[in-house]
Amino acid sequence: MQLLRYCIVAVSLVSVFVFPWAITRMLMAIVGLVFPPLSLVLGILVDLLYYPGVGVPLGLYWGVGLMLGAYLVRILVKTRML
Amino acid sequence: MKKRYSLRTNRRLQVPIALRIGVLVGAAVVGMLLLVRVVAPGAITTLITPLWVAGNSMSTWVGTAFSFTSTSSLEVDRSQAQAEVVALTARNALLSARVADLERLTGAAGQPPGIAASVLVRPPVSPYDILVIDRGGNDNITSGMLVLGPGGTPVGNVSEVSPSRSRVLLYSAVGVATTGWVGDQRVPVTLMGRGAGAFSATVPREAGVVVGSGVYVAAAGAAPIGSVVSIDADPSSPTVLLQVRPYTNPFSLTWVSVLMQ
Repeated sequence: MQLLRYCIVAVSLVSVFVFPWAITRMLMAIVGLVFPPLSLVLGILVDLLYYPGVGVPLGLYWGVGLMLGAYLVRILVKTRML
Repeated sequence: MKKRYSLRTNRRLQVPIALRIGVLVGAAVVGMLLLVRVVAPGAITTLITPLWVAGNSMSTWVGTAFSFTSTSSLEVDRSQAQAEVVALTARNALLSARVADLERLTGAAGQPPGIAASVLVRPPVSPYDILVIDRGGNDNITSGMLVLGPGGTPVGNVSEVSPSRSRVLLYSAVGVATTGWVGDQRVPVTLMGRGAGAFSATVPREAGVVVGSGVYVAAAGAAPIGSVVSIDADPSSPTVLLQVRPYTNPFSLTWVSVLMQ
Protein backbone atom coordinates (compact mmCIF):
# COMPACT_ATOMS: atom_id res chain seq x y z
CA MET A 1 0.00 0.00 0.00
CA GLN A 2 2.82 2.36 0.89
CA LEU A 3 4.67 1.50 -2.31
CA LEU A 4 1.53 2.36 -4.27
CA ARG A 5 1.42 5.77 -2.56
CA TYR A 6 5.05 6.46 -3.45
CA CYS A 7 4.36 5.38 -7.05
CA ILE A 8 1.37 7.76 -7.31
CA VAL A 9 3.49 10.63 -5.98
CA ALA A 10 6.32 9.84 -8.42
CA VAL A 11 4.02 9.54 -11.45
CA SER A 12 2.19 12.78 -10.61
CA LEU A 13 5.53 14.57 -10.32
CA VAL A 14 6.71 13.25 -13.70
CA SER A 15 3.35 14.08 -15.29
CA VAL A 16 4.00 17.82 -14.84
CA PHE A 17 6.81 17.51 -17.40
CA VAL A 18 5.46 14.80 -19.67
CA PHE A 19 1.70 14.32 -19.65
CA PRO A 20 -1.07 16.64 -20.87
CA TRP A 21 -2.48 19.09 -18.33
CA ALA A 22 -5.76 17.17 -18.05
CA ILE A 23 -3.94 14.03 -16.87
CA THR A 24 -1.72 16.07 -14.53
CA ARG A 25 -4.87 17.57 -13.01
CA MET A 26 -6.37 14.14 -12.46
CA LEU A 27 -3.17 12.92 -10.81
CA MET A 28 -3.13 16.06 -8.64
CA ALA A 29 -6.58 15.07 -7.39
CA ILE A 30 -5.50 11.48 -6.70
CA VAL A 31 -2.29 12.52 -4.99
CA GLY A 32 -4.29 14.93 -2.83
CA LEU A 33 -6.04 11.92 -1.32
CA VAL A 34 -2.64 10.52 -0.33
CA PHE A 35 -1.46 13.79 1.21
CA PRO A 36 -3.47 16.99 0.50
CA PRO A 37 -0.63 19.56 0.40
CA LEU A 38 0.90 17.64 -2.50
CA SER A 39 -1.83 18.97 -4.81
CA LEU A 40 -0.82 22.52 -3.97
CA VAL A 41 2.89 21.77 -4.39
CA LEU A 42 2.26 20.30 -7.83
CA GLY A 43 0.03 23.23 -8.79
CA ILE A 44 2.74 25.70 -7.84
CA LEU A 45 5.28 23.63 -9.78
CA VAL A 46 3.06 23.79 -12.89
CA ASP A 47 2.83 27.59 -12.64
CA LEU A 48 6.52 27.84 -11.91
CA LEU A 49 7.34 26.05 -15.14
CA TYR A 50 4.68 27.35 -17.49
CA TYR A 51 2.88 30.47 -16.21
CA PRO A 52 3.39 33.11 -18.91
CA GLY A 53 2.72 36.15 -16.70
CA VAL A 54 -0.72 36.97 -18.11
CA GLY A 55 -4.07 35.44 -17.31
CA VAL A 56 -5.23 33.29 -14.43
CA PRO A 57 -2.58 31.10 -12.66
CA LEU A 58 -4.41 27.83 -13.32
CA GLY A 59 -1.91 25.63 -11.49
CA LEU A 60 -2.24 27.57 -8.26
CA TYR A 61 -6.05 27.74 -8.43
CA TRP A 62 -6.41 24.04 -9.18
CA GLY A 63 -3.84 23.20 -6.52
CA VAL A 64 -5.69 25.13 -3.82
CA GLY A 65 -9.06 23.78 -4.93
CA LEU A 66 -7.93 20.15 -5.01
CA MET A 67 -6.13 20.47 -1.68
CA LEU A 68 -9.26 21.84 0.00
CA GLY A 69 -11.33 19.13 -1.68
CA ALA A 70 -8.94 16.45 -0.44
CA TYR A 71 -9.12 17.84 3.11
CA LEU A 72 -12.90 17.75 2.88
CA VAL A 73 -12.81 14.12 1.78
CA ARG A 74 -10.46 13.29 4.68
CA ILE A 75 -12.80 14.99 7.15
CA LEU A 76 -15.72 13.00 5.78
CA VAL A 77 -13.73 9.75 6.01
CA LYS A 78 -12.59 10.60 9.53
CA THR A 79 -16.12 11.24 10.71
CA ARG A 80 -17.16 8.04 8.92
CA MET A 81 -19.52 9.87 6.60
CA LEU A 82 -17.72 8.20 3.65
CA MET B 1 -17.86 7.12 28.13
CA LYS B 2 -15.94 4.68 25.98
CA LYS B 3 -14.26 6.26 22.98
CA ARG B 4 -15.18 4.75 19.63
CA TYR B 5 -12.12 3.67 17.68
CA SER B 6 -11.69 2.29 14.21
CA LEU B 7 -8.26 0.99 13.22
CA ARG B 8 -9.29 0.64 9.57
CA THR B 9 -10.27 4.30 9.17
CA ASN B 10 -7.17 5.57 10.94
CA ARG B 11 -4.89 3.49 8.77
CA ARG B 12 -6.54 4.86 5.63
CA LEU B 13 -5.85 8.41 6.73
CA GLN B 14 -2.32 7.75 7.92
CA VAL B 15 0.47 9.45 5.96
CA PRO B 16 3.86 7.69 6.15
CA ILE B 17 6.54 9.77 7.85
CA ALA B 18 8.89 9.31 4.87
CA LEU B 19 6.23 10.78 2.60
CA ARG B 20 5.75 13.75 4.94
CA ILE B 21 9.50 14.40 4.86
CA GLY B 22 9.54 13.94 1.09
CA VAL B 23 6.74 16.46 0.63
CA LEU B 24 8.54 18.95 2.89
CA VAL B 25 11.71 18.54 0.83
CA GLY B 26 9.66 18.84 -2.39
CA ALA B 27 7.98 22.01 -1.13
CA ALA B 28 11.40 23.43 -0.24
CA VAL B 29 12.70 22.60 -3.73
CA VAL B 30 9.65 24.23 -5.34
CA GLY B 31 10.23 27.29 -3.13
CA MET B 32 13.84 27.47 -4.26
CA LEU B 33 12.80 27.10 -7.90
CA LEU B 34 10.31 29.93 -7.35
CA LEU B 35 13.13 32.10 -6.07
CA VAL B 36 15.32 31.10 -9.03
CA ARG B 37 12.50 31.98 -11.44
CA VAL B 38 12.22 35.45 -9.90
CA VAL B 39 15.97 36.10 -9.78
CA ALA B 40 17.05 34.39 -13.04
CA PRO B 41 13.96 33.63 -15.15
CA GLY B 42 15.80 31.63 -17.82
CA ALA B 43 17.81 29.33 -15.55
CA ILE B 44 14.90 27.10 -14.66
CA THR B 45 14.13 26.16 -18.26
CA THR B 46 17.74 25.09 -18.78
CA LEU B 47 17.57 23.03 -15.60
CA ILE B 48 14.36 21.24 -16.57
CA THR B 49 15.18 20.72 -20.28
CA PRO B 50 16.37 17.06 -19.94
CA LEU B 51 12.97 16.12 -18.48
CA TRP B 52 11.10 17.86 -21.31
CA VAL B 53 13.33 16.22 -23.93
CA ALA B 54 12.73 12.83 -22.29
CA GLY B 55 8.97 13.52 -22.31
CA ASN B 56 9.02 14.42 -26.01
CA SER B 57 10.99 11.28 -26.85
CA MET B 58 8.59 9.16 -24.81
CA SER B 59 5.54 10.68 -26.56
CA THR B 60 7.09 10.01 -29.97
CA TRP B 61 7.98 6.44 -28.98
CA VAL B 62 4.49 5.74 -27.67
CA GLY B 63 2.94 7.28 -30.81
CA THR B 64 5.08 5.03 -33.03
CA ALA B 65 4.83 1.84 -30.97
CA PHE B 66 1.06 1.96 -30.58
CA SER B 67 0.17 2.99 -34.11
CA PHE B 68 -2.39 0.50 -35.39
CA THR B 69 -2.53 1.72 -39.01
CA SER B 70 -2.14 -1.10 -41.52
CA THR B 71 0.80 -1.22 -43.90
CA SER B 72 -1.36 -1.06 -47.03
CA SER B 73 -3.21 2.09 -45.90
CA LEU B 74 0.14 3.67 -45.01
CA GLU B 75 1.38 2.84 -48.52
CA VAL B 76 -1.68 4.55 -50.04
CA ASP B 77 -1.20 7.60 -47.80
CA ARG B 78 2.47 7.77 -48.76
CA SER B 79 1.69 7.67 -52.50
CA GLN B 80 -0.93 10.40 -52.09
CA ALA B 81 1.46 12.53 -50.04
CA GLN B 82 4.20 12.14 -52.66
CA ALA B 83 1.83 13.22 -55.43
CA GLU B 84 0.75 16.23 -53.33
CA VAL B 85 4.37 17.18 -52.66
CA VAL B 86 5.13 17.23 -56.39
CA ALA B 87 2.05 19.39 -57.12
CA LEU B 88 2.68 21.76 -54.23
CA THR B 89 6.39 22.12 -55.06
CA ALA B 90 5.49 23.20 -58.57
CA ARG B 91 2.85 25.61 -57.26
CA ASN B 92 5.27 26.96 -54.65
CA ALA B 93 7.91 27.61 -57.32
CA LEU B 94 5.35 29.46 -59.43
CA LEU B 95 4.19 31.58 -56.48
CA SER B 96 7.77 32.29 -55.38
CA ALA B 97 8.56 33.57 -58.86
CA ARG B 98 5.47 35.82 -58.79
CA VAL B 99 6.40 37.13 -55.33
CA ALA B 100 9.92 37.88 -56.52
CA ASP B 101 8.51 39.74 -59.54
CA LEU B 102 6.17 41.76 -57.32
CA GLU B 103 8.96 42.61 -54.88
CA ARG B 104 11.13 43.75 -57.77
CA LEU B 105 8.30 45.95 -59.11
CA THR B 106 7.25 47.43 -55.73
CA GLY B 107 10.74 47.62 -54.24
CA ALA B 108 9.57 45.81 -51.11
CA ALA B 109 12.15 43.78 -49.24
CA GLY B 110 11.66 40.05 -48.82
CA GLN B 111 11.15 38.33 -45.50
CA PRO B 112 14.30 38.47 -43.32
CA PRO B 113 15.96 35.16 -42.46
CA GLY B 114 14.79 33.23 -39.40
CA ILE B 115 16.35 30.90 -36.86
CA ALA B 116 14.90 27.38 -36.77
CA ALA B 117 14.21 26.16 -33.25
CA SER B 118 12.96 22.90 -31.86
CA VAL B 119 9.92 23.02 -29.55
CA LEU B 120 10.60 21.46 -26.15
CA VAL B 121 7.21 22.14 -24.56
CA ARG B 122 3.86 22.88 -26.13
CA PRO B 123 0.21 22.68 -25.10
CA PRO B 124 -1.33 20.46 -23.76
CA VAL B 125 1.65 19.58 -21.50
CA SER B 126 1.61 23.24 -20.59
CA PRO B 127 -1.84 24.43 -19.42
CA TYR B 128 -1.11 27.82 -21.00
CA ASP B 129 -0.52 28.66 -24.65
CA ILE B 130 3.25 28.91 -24.49
CA LEU B 131 6.12 27.17 -26.21
CA VAL B 132 9.60 26.58 -24.84
CA ILE B 133 12.16 26.46 -27.66
CA ASP B 134 15.78 25.33 -27.66
CA ARG B 135 17.28 28.63 -28.84
CA GLY B 136 18.06 31.65 -26.71
CA GLY B 137 20.25 34.69 -26.23
CA ASN B 138 23.34 32.84 -27.49
CA ASP B 139 21.61 32.65 -30.89
CA ASN B 140 20.81 36.40 -30.86
CA ILE B 141 17.19 35.86 -29.90
CA THR B 142 15.69 38.78 -28.02
CA SER B 143 12.37 39.39 -26.32
CA GLY B 144 9.58 40.47 -28.66
CA MET B 145 10.82 38.65 -31.77
CA LEU B 146 8.17 37.22 -34.07
CA VAL B 147 7.84 33.43 -34.15
CA LEU B 148 6.56 31.63 -37.24
CA GLY B 149 5.16 28.13 -37.48
CA PRO B 150 5.61 25.76 -40.42
CA GLY B 151 4.61 27.50 -43.63
CA GLY B 152 5.49 30.93 -42.27
CA THR B 153 2.30 31.44 -40.24
CA PRO B 154 2.91 33.77 -37.26
CA VAL B 155 2.16 32.00 -33.97
CA GLY B 156 3.40 34.41 -31.29
CA ASN B 157 6.25 36.44 -29.85
CA VAL B 158 9.29 35.60 -27.74
CA SER B 159 8.44 36.62 -24.18
CA GLU B 160 11.39 35.43 -22.10
CA VAL B 161 14.97 34.64 -23.09
CA SER B 162 17.74 32.73 -21.36
CA PRO B 163 21.15 31.99 -22.92
CA SER B 164 20.04 28.72 -24.48
CA ARG B 165 16.22 28.62 -24.18
CA SER B 166 13.29 30.95 -24.86
CA ARG B 167 9.62 31.08 -24.04
CA VAL B 168 7.15 31.99 -26.76
CA LEU B 169 3.78 33.45 -25.82
CA LEU B 170 1.26 32.39 -28.45
CA TYR B 171 -1.30 34.84 -29.79
CA SER B 172 -3.99 32.44 -28.60
CA ALA B 173 -2.95 32.60 -24.91
CA VAL B 174 -5.81 33.65 -22.64
CA GLY B 175 -5.58 37.38 -21.90
CA VAL B 176 -3.38 38.21 -24.91
CA ALA B 177 -4.80 40.85 -27.29
CA THR B 178 -3.41 41.13 -30.81
CA THR B 179 -4.36 43.69 -33.41
CA GLY B 180 -5.08 42.35 -36.85
CA TRP B 181 -7.43 42.41 -39.79
CA VAL B 182 -10.23 40.20 -41.02
CA GLY B 183 -11.68 39.51 -44.45
CA ASP B 184 -10.82 40.76 -47.90
CA GLN B 185 -11.73 44.30 -46.83
CA ARG B 186 -9.08 44.09 -44.05
CA VAL B 187 -11.47 45.17 -41.30
CA PRO B 188 -9.34 46.06 -38.21
CA VAL B 189 -10.00 43.81 -35.22
CA THR B 190 -8.52 43.03 -31.83
CA LEU B 191 -8.03 39.29 -31.55
CA MET B 192 -8.49 37.96 -28.04
CA GLY B 193 -6.75 34.69 -27.17
CA ARG B 194 -9.08 32.00 -25.85
CA GLY B 195 -6.53 29.26 -25.21
CA ALA B 196 -5.88 25.97 -27.05
CA GLY B 197 -4.99 27.89 -30.21
CA ALA B 198 -8.35 29.64 -30.63
CA PHE B 199 -9.21 33.34 -30.90
CA SER B 200 -12.29 35.49 -30.84
CA ALA B 201 -12.90 39.02 -32.11
CA THR B 202 -15.74 41.51 -32.16
CA VAL B 203 -16.61 43.42 -35.33
CA PRO B 204 -19.51 45.66 -36.36
CA ARG B 205 -22.40 43.76 -37.91
CA GLU B 206 -22.14 45.90 -41.07
CA ALA B 207 -18.51 44.86 -41.65
CA GLY B 208 -19.75 42.02 -43.83
CA VAL B 209 -17.46 39.35 -42.42
CA VAL B 210 -18.54 35.84 -43.43
CA VAL B 211 -17.58 32.34 -42.30
CA GLY B 212 -14.33 31.37 -43.98
CA SER B 213 -12.91 34.91 -44.08
CA GLY B 214 -9.15 35.06 -43.49
CA VAL B 215 -7.68 36.64 -40.36
CA TYR B 216 -4.36 38.44 -40.61
CA VAL B 217 -1.81 39.95 -38.24
CA ALA B 218 1.02 42.39 -38.90
CA ALA B 219 4.23 40.53 -39.76
CA ALA B 220 6.13 41.12 -43.00
CA GLY B 221 2.93 42.62 -44.42
CA ALA B 222 -0.40 41.11 -43.47
CA ALA B 223 0.28 37.48 -42.58
CA PRO B 224 -2.67 35.04 -42.45
CA ILE B 225 -3.03 33.23 -39.11
CA GLY B 226 -6.45 31.64 -39.32
CA SER B 227 -9.99 31.80 -40.60
CA VAL B 228 -13.42 32.58 -39.19
CA VAL B 229 -15.25 29.35 -38.33
CA SER B 230 -18.43 30.75 -36.81
CA ILE B 231 -20.17 34.06 -36.19
CA ASP B 232 -22.23 34.53 -33.03
CA ALA B 233 -24.79 37.26 -33.57
CA ASP B 234 -27.22 38.68 -31.03
CA PRO B 235 -30.16 40.38 -32.81
CA SER B 236 -30.14 43.22 -30.27
CA SER B 237 -26.39 43.90 -30.58
CA PRO B 238 -24.72 46.08 -33.24
CA THR B 239 -21.67 43.82 -33.15
CA VAL B 240 -20.99 40.15 -33.85
CA LEU B 241 -18.53 37.79 -32.22
CA LEU B 242 -16.17 35.95 -34.55
CA GLN B 243 -14.72 32.59 -33.57
CA VAL B 244 -11.37 32.09 -35.27
CA ARG B 245 -9.54 28.82 -35.87
CA PRO B 246 -5.77 29.09 -36.46
CA TYR B 247 -4.03 27.58 -39.48
CA THR B 248 -1.27 26.26 -37.21
CA ASN B 249 -2.20 23.76 -34.53
CA PRO B 250 -0.08 24.57 -31.44
CA PHE B 251 -0.63 21.03 -30.11
CA SER B 252 1.43 19.54 -32.95
CA LEU B 253 4.19 22.13 -33.35
CA THR B 254 7.59 20.44 -33.34
CA TRP B 255 9.67 23.29 -34.72
CA VAL B 256 9.31 27.01 -35.31
CA SER B 257 11.26 29.79 -36.94
CA VAL B 258 12.21 32.92 -34.99
CA LEU B 259 12.28 35.92 -37.28
CA MET B 260 15.35 38.15 -37.01
CA GLN B 261 14.42 41.83 -36.84
